[in-house]
Amino acid sequence: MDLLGHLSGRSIAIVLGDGGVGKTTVAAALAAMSAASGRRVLAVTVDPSNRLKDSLGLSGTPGVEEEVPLRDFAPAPGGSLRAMVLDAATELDRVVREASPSDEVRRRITENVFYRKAASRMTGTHEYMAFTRLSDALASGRHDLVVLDTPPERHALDFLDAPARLDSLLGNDAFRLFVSASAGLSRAGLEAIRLRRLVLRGIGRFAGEETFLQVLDFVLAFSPLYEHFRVRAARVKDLFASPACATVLVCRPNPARCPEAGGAGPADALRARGIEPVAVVANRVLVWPPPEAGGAGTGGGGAGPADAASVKDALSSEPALGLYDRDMVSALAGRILGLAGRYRERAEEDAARVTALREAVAPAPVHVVPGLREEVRDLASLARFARVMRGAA
Amino acid sequence: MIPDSIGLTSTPVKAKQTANPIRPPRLTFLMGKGGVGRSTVAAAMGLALSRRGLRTLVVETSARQAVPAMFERRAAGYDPVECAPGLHCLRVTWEDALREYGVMKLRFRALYRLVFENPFVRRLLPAVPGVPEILVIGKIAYCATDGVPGIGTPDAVVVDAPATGHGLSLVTAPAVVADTVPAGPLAEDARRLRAVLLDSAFTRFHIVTTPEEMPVSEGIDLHGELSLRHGLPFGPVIVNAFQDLALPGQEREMARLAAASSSAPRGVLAAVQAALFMDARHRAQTAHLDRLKTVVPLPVVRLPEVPGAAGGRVKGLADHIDAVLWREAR
Repeated sequence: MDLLGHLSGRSIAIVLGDGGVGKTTVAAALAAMSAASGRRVLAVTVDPSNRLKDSLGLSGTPGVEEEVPLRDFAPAPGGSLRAMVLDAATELDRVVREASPSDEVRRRITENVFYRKAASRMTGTHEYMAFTRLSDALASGRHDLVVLDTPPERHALDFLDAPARLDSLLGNDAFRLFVSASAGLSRAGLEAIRLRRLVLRGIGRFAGEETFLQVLDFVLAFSPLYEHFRVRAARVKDLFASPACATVLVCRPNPARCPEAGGAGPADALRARGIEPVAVVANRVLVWPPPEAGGAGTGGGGAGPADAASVKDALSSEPALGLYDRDMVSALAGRILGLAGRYRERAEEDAARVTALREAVAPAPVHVVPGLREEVRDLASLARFARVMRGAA
Repeated sequence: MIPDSIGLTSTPVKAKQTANPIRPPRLTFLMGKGGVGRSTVAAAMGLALSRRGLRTLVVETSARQAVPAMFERRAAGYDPVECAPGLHCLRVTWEDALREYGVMKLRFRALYRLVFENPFVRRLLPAVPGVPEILVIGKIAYCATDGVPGIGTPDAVVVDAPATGHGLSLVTAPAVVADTVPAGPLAEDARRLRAVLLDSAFTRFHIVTTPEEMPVSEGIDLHGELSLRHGLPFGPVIVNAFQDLALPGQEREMARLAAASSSAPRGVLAAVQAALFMDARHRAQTAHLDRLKTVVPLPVVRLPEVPGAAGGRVKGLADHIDAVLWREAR
């Protein structure tokens, strides 16, 4: 099955991977190909590089859907591609505005010093806003497929754990007691007061009581919104595990880019969270022969390694190089052999890593996308990347 | 655990740029995007320092330690692991640091348990901006100033900081906390820590990057934030995995002509295309480095791609780092 096949019949595609593996490009190519096959697709991305914004022709105004033309992708009728860029701070403000039961609550939150200085950097904020947009977009019924390029977290799987983390914080009994405004005369209430005092005294020694009170103030100001957050986080958790959702894992064959390939596979980590990845994409893999060499050329030796003599012979007798003198052609042959040798060395290393990756993620299929000479910088080059990716076995 | 014996005032010193550092500092932070090989560079730098006869400690900040395995050692959690003669490796997580600090401040383990192992506090604390970071950076600074039980005070500490965003939060936590938090024990510690990080005679930061678009962009942003905005002292940018072979201009044209050949054997065409690929990669990498150099006024040291298994890579890189980083910068 080609990569696109994994997405048919699904309404959400979550593209996961560590930063710098080409995850955003893979997500954009998947979205564009699905749109070209006739589906109405929304691509959602968080803080993309300028190059990607440029390549999709987006202005990058946060939270606004923008139409992306499909002419480079041989589109079938009926399909459309929209893309949206999210920004942490703007999105958090929006969520607070929407979820606040009153202006008073909203003001208390947004004017709190911790909210202003640090809320958009707090753990879980990126994930949360991506979730809310995702579920809003699905509920609107205007899209057949939403492709979510996940935020560049330190670890790909942090993203999946965010709803559970939020749920476990907000659903915690001690927490509920702690923030409960109605700490009356009930036993639980008394317990809460006792706990509160102890904790305050302890933390006071650690951080200064005033500090903790400020933070607590923020927590309390936020409390009317917790239920709202919790419900949505729980909904997203269910969504991840539902059959409507396809999870695609992107990695590089470089061990540093795919740290789990050796040990417990990333797919295992997903499975432990109740998610079966539909596909793993090994991106920018050096393969021999290079894809640019294609099926071109004639005669002997297939695509195996060429030795020094045959490279020199072929270049010396190459009509296109007839104008250059013998020494120059021979220097070129030497240099080509050196560079090609290094390429082959890397390609062999990559092949071994891909084998290890296949074992680590089985039975999830691994699609090997060869590294291309050309960088993706506009829709035309994205379309070329997409074609190579689609053909990836 | 937060140093108070190093005799620095709470007034931040004006940071100086150390352009061509000759001597390794006491405390080195390696900053940069995930996946650029920062842990490998940290291990290699640690090895190079220890070979110079300096008792060296490599500090990792992620729960899963990578460095001991590069020396075929098993990670030992919170305890230092000896990786090579004179080279130890230590993991610092905020939970460990909190336990140490909490017990110290609260004096009693039982009280620590009651307060900090309370399920709510355990969940809330890491959500409070700056708290986990200040604990980790405090422990790291303490390692450099007051040492580690069992191995004493090292001559050099190399910190494999977390990837970009988390790394930024880590090293700016003292400044953020000192500015946001009202007077109190935490603010006091934060001010002292900020002074340690700003002291260019003691501390040096390096951006570690690969010559690729996103790592370079994040490196530029990190430098802007940490050096320009916070005044932290920076040494050369360390560029990892640079592909140094290329085709000179005319040969590139010739190779392109050859690649379009209709008569060459497939094996030869594959070699030509592979050479063009590596050449294009070299040029793309050079362009990314040029972009870096126009924005970041620091010397750049380039480390080659070292093939092979992790252990061999670390030894190879250690030789390169020793040759280019501390004696002279290119």
